[in-house]
Amino acid sequence: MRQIPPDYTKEDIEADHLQDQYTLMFGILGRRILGELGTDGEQALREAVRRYGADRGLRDRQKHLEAGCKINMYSAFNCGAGLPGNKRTHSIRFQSVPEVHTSQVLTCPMAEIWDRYDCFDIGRIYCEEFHFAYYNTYAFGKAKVNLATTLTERGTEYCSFHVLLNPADLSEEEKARCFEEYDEKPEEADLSQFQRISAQEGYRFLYLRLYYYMAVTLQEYLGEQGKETLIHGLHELAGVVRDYIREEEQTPDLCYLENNYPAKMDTSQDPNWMVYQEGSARELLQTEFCDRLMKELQI
Amino acid sequence: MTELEESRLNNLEDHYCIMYAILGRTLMEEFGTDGEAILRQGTRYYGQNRGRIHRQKHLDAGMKINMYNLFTSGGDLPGDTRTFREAQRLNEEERVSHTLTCPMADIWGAYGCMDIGRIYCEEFHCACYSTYAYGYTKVNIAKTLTQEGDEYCAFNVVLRKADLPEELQPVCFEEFDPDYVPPEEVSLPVPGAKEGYRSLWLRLYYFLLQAAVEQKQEQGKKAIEEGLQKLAGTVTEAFQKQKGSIDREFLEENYPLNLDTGQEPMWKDYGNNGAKELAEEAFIKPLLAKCL
Repeated sequence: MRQIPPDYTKEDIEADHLQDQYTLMFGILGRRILGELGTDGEQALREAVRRYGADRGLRDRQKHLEAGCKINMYSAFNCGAGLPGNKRTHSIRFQSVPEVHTSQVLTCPMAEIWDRYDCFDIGRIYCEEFHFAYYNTYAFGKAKVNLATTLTERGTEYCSFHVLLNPADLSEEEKARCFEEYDEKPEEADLSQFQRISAQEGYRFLYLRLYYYMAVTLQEYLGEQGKETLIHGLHELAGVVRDYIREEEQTPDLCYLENNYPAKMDTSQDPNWMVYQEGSARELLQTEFCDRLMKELQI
Repeated sequence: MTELEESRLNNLEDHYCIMYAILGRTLMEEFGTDGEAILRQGTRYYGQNRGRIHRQKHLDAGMKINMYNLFTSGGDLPGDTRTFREAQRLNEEERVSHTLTCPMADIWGAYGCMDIGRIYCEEFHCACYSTYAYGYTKVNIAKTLTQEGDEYCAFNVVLRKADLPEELQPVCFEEFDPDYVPPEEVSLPVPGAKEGYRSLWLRLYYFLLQAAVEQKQEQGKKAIEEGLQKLAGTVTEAFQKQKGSIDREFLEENYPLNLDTGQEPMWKDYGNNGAKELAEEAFIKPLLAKCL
């Protein structure tokens, strides 16, 4: 069992578990995909991360537009991102204004988990694809995303983010949507909508979508072979998750899983699946992972 | 390299940068954000052109289109003695490096045009490296010496095998091309200083003019004309400060552009929008009149 910092609440511990499990899901499935399918698998995995990034970017943009926020780098990094807060990520912000966000991430629990579970290279794929797709989609495809170092590369000490949105790269209409000075009648933004979401709610939605795009892309690119690999990956994941949970909790029950695992064990109870119905993604997660995990944990 | 040769090389590089700075500043003063958009677009065109030519050179030589070859063979930038780089990783998929000193940033700083230089950095590298590898390169430059507070330029340029469509994988990586026989000896020469900067200056100017005309038509061309006239003054001042009296030979050896436009074959391919005539009338003639 890991050392719990003295200032941690039950909610903090749960948030860490949820984040670790979200990260592990990508790492274990990704490793299996590359191991069994090589470059073809990597192609599908990268595409899945891009679709996931684009999905998140699009949703955040929509949320910001509805709240009257300008679509720019300040809003992207400061107003209600879909990622729940956590106590393990430490970063330094050098600049965060509408045109540019520059920061260094000094500690990243995702990189640490990928390293611990021997999926460091898979993590690097996430970093390379996700951020580019997310910020670019968010800002109408006009953001310049520079990530010169990441903690998922050996020998680097921090992730270096430099994300730009230049008014000169935008059309007249986009300028008005992105920067107050180009909007003749700027609205007062309603930031009250951006209460931090709970870790359970946040990671559950992130996990679902990341997994969904992996499952769909894999089958789209590689058909039955892709589906088989996905099933192998879900089986392996069930074993890894079982061990992780056992290390933290000797006798986990459904309530524990509800608070500490980012997928509902009865997937039909999660309304988010309504929008993500393509293929057999949900069914496979249910039968090849959730049911198996419950059995292994004797719940 | 002799001291004289080094001085010429530095002048050629500096004046290539000064041209960009003066034309860029003029466009931004004239058109504000629209001028910046012209400058960015022109720089992208220029980057795409260099990337495309570099790629073709490699294809003609039977080489694979990847990051190792991009950064080790057949570059069009003449070597110089003022740039220092620290290579961290270089292979077919990745090039990670830090540029510790950059004479381009230094000259832009000296002329109060660091912001213009920053636009060059933001647009050029991405357009060039991306075009070279058919649009599949990921170009990350998180720091540049043209940005206040940055101590080096941080390049992380990546071409992932898995990002390429099947038909391009064998074009870029040997492992997907089982019958590939690498060329026995690849020796793509780096251009000499005058030859190299002459070609770069001409194309950079040409694409700035193209973007200006595309976006602002006659007004855009007029702004470039004004920029060239200002440039003639700036160049004269810089050379006179450096050397006192100047003759044509000195100008030919130390300025990137071929001052006899009739003797410049590149205008044939880069002559749209009256580029050659404009350079002649708004820049070369005033420069010669002021200098000689």
